[in-house]
Amino acid sequence: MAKLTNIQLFCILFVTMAVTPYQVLAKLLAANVAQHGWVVIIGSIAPGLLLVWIYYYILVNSRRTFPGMLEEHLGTLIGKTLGFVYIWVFFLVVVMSLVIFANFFLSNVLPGMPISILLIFIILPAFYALRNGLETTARVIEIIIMTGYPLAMVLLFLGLGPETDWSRLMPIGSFAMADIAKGILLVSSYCSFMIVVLTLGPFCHQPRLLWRWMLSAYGLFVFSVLVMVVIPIVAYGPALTAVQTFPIFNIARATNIAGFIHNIEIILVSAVMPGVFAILAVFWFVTCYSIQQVFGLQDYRVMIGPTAIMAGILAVLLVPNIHFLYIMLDQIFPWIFITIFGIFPVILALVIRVKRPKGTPSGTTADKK
Amino acid sequence: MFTALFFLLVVFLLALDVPNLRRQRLNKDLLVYTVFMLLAIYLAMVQFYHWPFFNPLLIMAMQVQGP
Repeated sequence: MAKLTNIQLFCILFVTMAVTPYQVLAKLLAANVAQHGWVVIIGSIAPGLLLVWIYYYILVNSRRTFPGMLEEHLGTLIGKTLGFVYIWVFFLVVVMSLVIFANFFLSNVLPGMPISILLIFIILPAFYALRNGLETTARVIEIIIMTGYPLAMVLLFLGLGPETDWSRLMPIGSFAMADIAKGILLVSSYCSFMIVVLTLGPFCHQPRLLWRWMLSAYGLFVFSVLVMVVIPIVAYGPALTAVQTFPIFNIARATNIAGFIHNIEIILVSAVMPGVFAILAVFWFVTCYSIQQVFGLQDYRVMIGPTAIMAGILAVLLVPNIHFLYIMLDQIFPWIFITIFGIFPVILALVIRVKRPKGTPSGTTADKK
Repeated sequence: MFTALFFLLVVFLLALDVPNLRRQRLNKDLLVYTVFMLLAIYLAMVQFYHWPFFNPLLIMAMQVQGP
C-alpha cells in the first residue's frame, strides 16, 4: 500500500480546495454579493469546520477507504449504488477543472490555440504521474504547493497598487441574506472537495494525527480565499470584478512596480498550470480508485487510459463556452457538490453514530487498522 | 485526420493495458475496461461527427438562464 507523509496529505487537501476558487471565486462572489465577499468567507467558516469534523469522524470510524466505506456502513447494494454516483461526481470535478483551465487559457493567455492541444498538454502529465502511482503524484503536488502557492499569493499582494481603496469593502449593512447564504454555499462547495481525505487519509503514515493536518489545510484555505476575494474588490471594486472573466489574471497583468517589475502575468499562468495539474491528478486518482472499489478490480491504474479520453472529450462536449461555464459554476455545480460531498457524508456520519454500539468511544474501529 | 490520430491513441492505450490484463486472467477488469473504453470511443464519435448528445448540465444551465 502506498504511503503518504502528513505534509503531502496537507498539500493535497489544500490544492484540491484552493485551485478552482483561485481562478473563479472572486468573480462569482462579486456577482452574487458585491463587496460582501469577505463577509461570506467569514460566514463559511462554521460550515467548513463542520465538514472537516464530519470527514474526520467518518474516517476514524471506518476500516475501509472511500467509497468502500459506503458498503461497510450502508450495505452492499446502497454502498455500491452510491459509490457509482460518486465515480461520476468525482469525474465531474476532473472535467470542470479542465474546462475552467481551458477557458482561462484560451480567453487570456493564448487566444486561438486549439482546445484539443491544450487539453492534451494538461492531461498528459497527470496521466503519466498517475500511471506511476499515488506516491509520485503526491511528491509532485508537494513541490507544487511549496513553490507555486507563495508565488501565486505574492502576485496577488503585488496587485495592491496605488489605486487600492479599502473603502470598497464597505458598506457592510446593505446585503440580502439570501445572497449571503448562496455565497456561503459557493465557498462551502469548494471546501467540500476535502472529501478526498476519505480516500487518501488511510494512506497516511499517522492517521490519528489527520485532524491537525485537515484543520491546517482548511485554515490556509480560508486565509487564501479571503485574500483572493478581497484583493480584486479593493483593486477594481465589485462592479468591475463581477464583469471580468478572470479578475485575478487582470491583477497580475496590471501589476507594475515602479516601471521595473511588470508584464508578470506569465508567472501567474506558470503557478496556475501546476495547480490545475494537481487538482486534476487528485480527483482523477480518486475517480479511478472509486471505479476499482465499486467494481472490485485488481488495480486502479488500468482505468486511467479510458478515463483520460473521456475527460478530454467531455471537457469539450459538456460546456460549450465561458458564458455557460459561469452559469454552471454559479448555479449548478455548487448544489451538486454540496449535496454529494457535503450532505451525503453528514447522513453517513449520522448512520455511523446510530449503528455504533453504546459506550463505544469514537475512533475505536480505526484502532483495529 | 483527427479521427485517425484518435484511433492510434486508442490502439496505444489498448496495447498498454490489455496484454497485462489477459496475462493475469483478470476477466472482470477487462470487462470494465472495455465498457469504459467503448464509452470513451462513443463520446469521441459524438464530438467528431456531431452525433446527438444529451447534456443535462447544458439543459439545466439554459433553464437557469431563462429566455
